[in-house]
Amino acid sequence: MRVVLFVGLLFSAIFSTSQNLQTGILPQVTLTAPIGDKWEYTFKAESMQSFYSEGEQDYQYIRTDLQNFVSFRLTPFSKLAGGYQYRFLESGENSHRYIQQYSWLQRLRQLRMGHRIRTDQTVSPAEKTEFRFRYRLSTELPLNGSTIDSREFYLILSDEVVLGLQSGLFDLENRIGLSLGNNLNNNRKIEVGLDYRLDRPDQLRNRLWWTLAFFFKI
Amino acid sequence: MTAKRLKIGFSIEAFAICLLVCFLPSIASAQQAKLEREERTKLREVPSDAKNWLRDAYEGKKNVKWYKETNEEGVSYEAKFKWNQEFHSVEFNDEGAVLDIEVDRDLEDVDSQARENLQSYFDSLQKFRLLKLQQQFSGGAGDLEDMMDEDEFENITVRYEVEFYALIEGDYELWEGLFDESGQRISLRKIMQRPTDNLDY
Repeated sequence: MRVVLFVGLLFSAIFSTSQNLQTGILPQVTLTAPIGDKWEYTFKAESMQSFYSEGEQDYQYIRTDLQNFVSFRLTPFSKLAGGYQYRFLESGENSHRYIQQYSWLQRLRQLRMGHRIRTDQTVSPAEKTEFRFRYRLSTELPLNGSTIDSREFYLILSDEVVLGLQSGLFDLENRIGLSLGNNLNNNRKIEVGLDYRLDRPDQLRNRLWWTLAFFFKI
Repeated sequence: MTAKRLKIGFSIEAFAICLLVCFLPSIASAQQAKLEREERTKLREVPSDAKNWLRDAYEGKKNVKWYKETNEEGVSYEAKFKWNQEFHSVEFNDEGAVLDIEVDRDLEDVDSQARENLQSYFDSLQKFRLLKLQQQFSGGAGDLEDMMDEDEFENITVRYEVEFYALIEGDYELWEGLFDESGQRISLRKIMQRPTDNLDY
């Protein structure tokens, strides 16, 4: 019921301001490999392509990001990670991003909540360095029973607030995610969903991405 | 000098092939994976003996969630609900005979001797953090019913099941410990946690 309400609110928010809506796909793949007991290496590739923008159908390849992270498990429920991203942009103004994050897991009776605090710095030849501070809360809800077993479905609800600073100007963005996942086995997951982003670069901008995410752990 | 343009796009075909290659082995291995699962089940699929026992022992209880658990030992059923402000979980075998009752407790509510022993065990551990403490009652169907209805503890075995984070022999992990009625440790095992890659990245 709460999920239905959430989706309803999400769509009503999007359509009430749909004149500035951009929509497309955001497929992503995440591979994680352990390095010893406490360290892990993660590679993530993500591509953004738009199919509809400001009332018109219009295919536009936007970007592809390649991310590399090394993480260290501080406790059984928290991790510290450092990462580097190379972004290929349609315009050719490719950028470098340095990422620092601290994430922790909260186990509740029927669900898991993941908290993530991230700071990043984006360096690009075309623009001044952008500094961002982000916090994301993700909730994983099993759809069958109270634990997520092999081949079971689950929902992921997330909200992320992104505060940016570039050339002395602040920018605020909110990202809401809703995905349906399947836990093929504990090391392989597929998630399909929506990622709705609202920000205000010069005027209010709505972006809705269909996401398809794969997670592999070696 | 003109800006170097480099564009990496996914063609749908290449993407589909990658997916097939990556996921075929996992679909095959999932078929062979040991069947260990816990799922919600409909009331009509629960053995009637289990429903009858619960109705007698917990008179007037409604809003019970039923689960079916399958593992290498076979099938069991579990009823989960709130009773007198506490979470109860009652386990039955595949024929509906009651096996045990587990009640979530705060450490302060545990009997004094067991509490002292549990507390001193917890104090002996480094980086200890308690997540869940359950008091477990096991015994025959009649004895467990008498315990619920008349507060009689004859032929009832009491144990404590505790989930906690701690550093034990150099391993900082999530643990499950089983303790007897007086709070003495019986066994300890590491709980494997599912990866958090989808929550971290």
